[in-house]
Amino acid sequence: MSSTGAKKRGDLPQIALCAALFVATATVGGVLAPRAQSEVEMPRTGLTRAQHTRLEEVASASLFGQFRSNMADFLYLKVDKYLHNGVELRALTPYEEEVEHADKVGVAESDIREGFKQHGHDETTVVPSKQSDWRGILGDLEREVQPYQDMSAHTHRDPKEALPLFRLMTWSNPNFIPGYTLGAMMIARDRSKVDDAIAFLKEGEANNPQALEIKTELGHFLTGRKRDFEAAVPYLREAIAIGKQRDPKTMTEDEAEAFQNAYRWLVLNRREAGQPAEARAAAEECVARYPNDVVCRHYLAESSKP
Amino acid sequence: METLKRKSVVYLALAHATLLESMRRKDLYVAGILAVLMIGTAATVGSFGVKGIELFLKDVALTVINLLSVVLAVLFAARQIPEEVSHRTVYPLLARPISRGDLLFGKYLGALALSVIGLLIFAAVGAGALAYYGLTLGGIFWQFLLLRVLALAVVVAMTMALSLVMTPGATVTLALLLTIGSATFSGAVKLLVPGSSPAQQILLKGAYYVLPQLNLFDLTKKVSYGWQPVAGWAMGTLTVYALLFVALFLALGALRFRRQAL
Repeated sequence: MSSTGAKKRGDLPQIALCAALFVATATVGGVLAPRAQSEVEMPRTGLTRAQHTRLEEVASASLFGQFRSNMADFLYLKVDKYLHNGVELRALTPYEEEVEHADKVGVAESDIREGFKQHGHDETTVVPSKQSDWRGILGDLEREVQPYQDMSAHTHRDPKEALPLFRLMTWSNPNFIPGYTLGAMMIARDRSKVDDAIAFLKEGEANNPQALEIKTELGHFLTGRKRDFEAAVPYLREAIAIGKQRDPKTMTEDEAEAFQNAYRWLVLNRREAGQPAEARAAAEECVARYPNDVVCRHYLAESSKP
Repeated sequence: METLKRKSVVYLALAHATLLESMRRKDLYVAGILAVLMIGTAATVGSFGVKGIELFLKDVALTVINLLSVVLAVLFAARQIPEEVSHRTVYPLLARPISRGDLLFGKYLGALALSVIGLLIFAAVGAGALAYYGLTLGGIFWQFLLLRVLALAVVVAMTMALSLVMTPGATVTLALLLTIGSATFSGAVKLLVPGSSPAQQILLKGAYYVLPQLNLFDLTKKVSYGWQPVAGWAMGTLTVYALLFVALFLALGALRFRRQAL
């Protein structure tokens, strides 16, 4: 009898530990919950330049910075996987690029019409097709147990369900530029949410005042979607000004593309706003920098006609 | 027939003793504490609101179930035989009319039962937490559980075989590397083979076929992304694949144990 009692008393510390852990985690949740809201309608987290500078001087920001970046990257990859229904893609190896050995990845025409970008020729599926797999039955098994499909002309899942992940990734790392630009594009697929997309980009712009990709996207949305030409011009001019200050060799692929797009949108914007002189000036500057740019060359050719 | 019946009694008695010993040592308390942590985490995430991140939550919950169950299985399996030897309790056991192979298999069954109990606790907590937030996992979840049991069967057998040739620390490290790194290894081999020389290809392919591809027993992504259940032929083939590796590892372990000086 007494040994049973002692045994029960011996169990007490473990039970107390379990209870304490439960209470602690629930309490943390309870305290944090009122400070956050779910989904896209979270409050602005934009930081001023001064706040940015102050933040960079805080030791804890440095300590947790890597974690925040990794979290944002992780969520970005999750979005990619989500859009492809769990099918994982990867970059081609140098060997695959050389011998054109890998399975092709391409977006279906229907999805391109809906605004999805075509994949480059440098991607393939992580799980290979039967034709390019040497593993026999183990390869068949992997194609059966892992999400796999022919991706040569694939469609995407409705990105609506992925929107909260963009909110989480930019919340986790407010300097994660692709989170803002791709997130805004996904939000704006619902035509009634273009204002939300612009608000999201403006939050990104406040957090990243030197990000020319976000400024270009803002110019693109205000010009192409809202037709608010005058509001778009400052963003496009700022994007061009930032691009000019940068060494082209150090620009990322996204930055270089955004820089060129800023010229294109500025030309189209000024043309639509009935400012041909400004449009021509922008197009000439664009062609001087990008001699083969189709949009700017086309405008110059059109505007030269009597 | 009589021998088989006697062996079954021996195996079940050893497995039962392993379970009782584990209860006495309160091993499953670890599973309980981890389950409580899972519930706490779910409560924290839930209080933020789960709308829109259902798929992400499913993915995380299933990954946590996989990870925790594998870690527990390795820890349970790695110490079964070495502790019997170091505590000298192996002598009275072997003084009975049972062989070392019988002892290994009985212990294997006990460790597997413990691991499956751990898996079921985590799965119940994970699925329960998801259900609380209105998230269902579909029929494929049962296939997920069955494949995890098969994976644990391989992991426990592999760990017990390793524990007979290595120190407990090395056993745990190597078993976890082989288990958790299975998907990375498989991915790396797939990438490396096409551009390699013929000799390298033989080595890489040999390693791929010799090592158990435990990532084939993971339906996490299919469950998370709401795919249809897996075809019957795949489940059947994976069962045979798992049983082959279990038999191989236990046979290798029994061979080693038979020659081991106690």
